[in-house]
Amino acid sequence: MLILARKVGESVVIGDNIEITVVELRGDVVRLGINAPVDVPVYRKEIYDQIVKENLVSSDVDLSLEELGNMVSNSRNKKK
Amino acid sequence: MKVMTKRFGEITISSQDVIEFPQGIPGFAENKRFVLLKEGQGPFFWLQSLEDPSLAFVVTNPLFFAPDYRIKLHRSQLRDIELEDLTKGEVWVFVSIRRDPFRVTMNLQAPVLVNRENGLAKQVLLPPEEYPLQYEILRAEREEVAS
Repeated sequence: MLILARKVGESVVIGDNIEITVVELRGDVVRLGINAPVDVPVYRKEIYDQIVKENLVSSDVDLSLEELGNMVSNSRNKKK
Repeated sequence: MKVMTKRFGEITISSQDVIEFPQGIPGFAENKRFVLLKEGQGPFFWLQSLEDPSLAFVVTNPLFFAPDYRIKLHRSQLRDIELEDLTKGEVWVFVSIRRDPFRVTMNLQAPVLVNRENGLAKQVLLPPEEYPLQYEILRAEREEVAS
């Protein structure tokens, strides 16, 4: 991993069109400003990881959709 | 075009039905092209990969279970699938099924937007405080018995 030291107000540039600026330092929190093209999504890593994990669960299904639909409609009918 | 799937064998789909995720789906970056397949009469569909026969997600229309679900996005988030405004797109959400305890949830935090006019799609990540990652649509039977 490349490690660079930066001060508040300084930036790093990644490729031609991504710029990350250290905006503020407060205690152990660093605020970053990110300029990137719209087609480059930027996420907080822990949020992204959760989505990946959830997508993995969604791709791991051993029921047919008919079975699933029946289970859900049965449970909805019971609640009524 | 013919597509190989693990669940249905070889199927024939129209090229107009292909949904392309230019940025991929988080966790599945290698898979860009999908098709929505119906199975049975329920509210659920398969989002089947055209590149990996064994990869398919369960998706549903979120409004079927959460009629108040409304997402707000910045125009820039729609630009990469060339969607002018949200009302012109389709919104789908991934469904997760867990065993032990048995739970069926849908991911309202990261819906899938589809622009049917050009077939482009993306999974968007909403601010986590807006909607849950695991919105319950079915809970374990035994809990219902107990309550």
